[in-house]
Amino acid sequence: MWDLQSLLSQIGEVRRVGWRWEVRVPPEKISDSVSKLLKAAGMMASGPQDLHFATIVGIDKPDAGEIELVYHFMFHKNKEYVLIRTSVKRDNPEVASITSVIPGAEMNENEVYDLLGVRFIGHPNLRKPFMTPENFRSDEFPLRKDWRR
Amino acid sequence: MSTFTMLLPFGPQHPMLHEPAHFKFEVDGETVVNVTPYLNYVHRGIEKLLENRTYVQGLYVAARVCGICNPSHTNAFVAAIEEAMGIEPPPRAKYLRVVTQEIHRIQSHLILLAVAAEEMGFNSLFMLIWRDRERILRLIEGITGGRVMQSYDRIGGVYRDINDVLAERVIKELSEMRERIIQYRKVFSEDPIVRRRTVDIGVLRTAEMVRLGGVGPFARASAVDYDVRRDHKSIHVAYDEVPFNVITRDECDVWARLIARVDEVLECINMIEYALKHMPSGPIRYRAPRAAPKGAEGIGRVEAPRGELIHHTISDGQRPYRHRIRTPSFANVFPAAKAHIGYSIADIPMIYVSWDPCFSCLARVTIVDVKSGTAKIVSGDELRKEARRRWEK
Repeated sequence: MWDLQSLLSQIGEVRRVGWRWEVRVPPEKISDSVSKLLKAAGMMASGPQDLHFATIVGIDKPDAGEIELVYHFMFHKNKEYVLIRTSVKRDNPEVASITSVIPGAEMNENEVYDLLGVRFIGHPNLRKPFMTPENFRSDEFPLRKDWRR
Repeated sequence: MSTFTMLLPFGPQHPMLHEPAHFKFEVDGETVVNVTPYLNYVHRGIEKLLENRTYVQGLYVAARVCGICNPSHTNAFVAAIEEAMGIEPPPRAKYLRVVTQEIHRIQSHLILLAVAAEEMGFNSLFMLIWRDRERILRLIEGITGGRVMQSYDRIGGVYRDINDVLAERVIKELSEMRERIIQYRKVFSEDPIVRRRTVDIGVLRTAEMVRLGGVGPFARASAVDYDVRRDHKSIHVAYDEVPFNVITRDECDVWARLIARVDEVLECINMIEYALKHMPSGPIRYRAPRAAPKGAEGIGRVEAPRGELIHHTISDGQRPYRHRIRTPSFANVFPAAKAHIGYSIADIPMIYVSWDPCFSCLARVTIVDVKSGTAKIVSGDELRKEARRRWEK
């Protein structure tokens, strides 16, 4: 029997919120946790991978001095929705890229970098401008709360 | 063996339709070997804008994210806000939301089918489908009051009710429409022009599609069994009460993507008829609070015509602290770019159209010879002629 809650509690601090699961992990563990999810998804599916990666939501929190990243995942088999949350330092936002395990995350990571300035270490092609216009400075991140133009 | 590759820029100017995007195709002879998408041409900063609007004002901003599937955006927006506020709409509103969602799915899929027909040079089919879409638009205007832009969903319900006369008219017109869609299905599945241009083109297998994160009919045509309507038990729409089939196909090519959409249109017609016949009575809207608790979160997941649409909101009282929108085309652009690899330049229009983005950029493709730096401008017509020439060989 495949128990999602015990799997998620191995990854980090887990709680059930409404129809979804939320797991909080430290930023250095993010790529490790995603690999664990993938492995679990591979165990329950017939194909090689059964984990749908939906998106990354970046939330700027200047009061706490951090940027929160929320990774959305869904297991295709039982349609359970999992959010993995992590926080990175606002003055030096860096986190490992998950593109080596989930190639589909490439565009999402690039968007978060472009709009919030979180650098994804190991991303194959992190570019700016990606969403923003070409006349934006390279240190301008419009979704940060203190952004002015 | 030659290692000579050329760069083929695609876009970004298209005067006609949504989403100017720019694709750089790297081609070796006639074969595409790599594709890089550039997307920053219509970034309007809507996520930032929503942070400065109240929820009621934000509803109208959310509707303007997309011109074709705006009910999906308002629906996902209100689902996210309602979840943050902890409210549930009345049963009749949930059914009315199903009706508007599905009738919009019909018109959106008809656009794609018509354009696909035009791209393969089948102009009469394009005109016929476009005419039928016009009838659907008139029905939409009757139900919601707006032909293209509606903002029909409200926080706590919907904007206006449907009466019996209108419901009967919708059912009658849709049953006539069903006959025509069945005819189109026959054309798309049997016509040699269609089959030659689409069968075994742009193949993306299931495992690859899941790995790259494709959604919607694009993914379901690659046998990815995922439909938000069925898989997300939402309390904001009545999809759990309206029966329907999820269309998946295992051909994984352009043809499967078109046929999956034709079948979805037929499924939508059944759903609308069911919803109108089993519509519960009662109010269409509850009075919603103006604010959500600070820090409350809500995630609205909706199956838009192009696939899974996510609105994730974090409340700051009367307005969102952060509102994230992940549109289905954004999820699909990466797998779609990969679907081109290994196919020829002449197949670009069909593969490009099959994931339902903007396509009028085809009217002007520049081919740049990287080594000598010379450029040649090719029109969409020439590309189509080239495709025909190749097939007649």
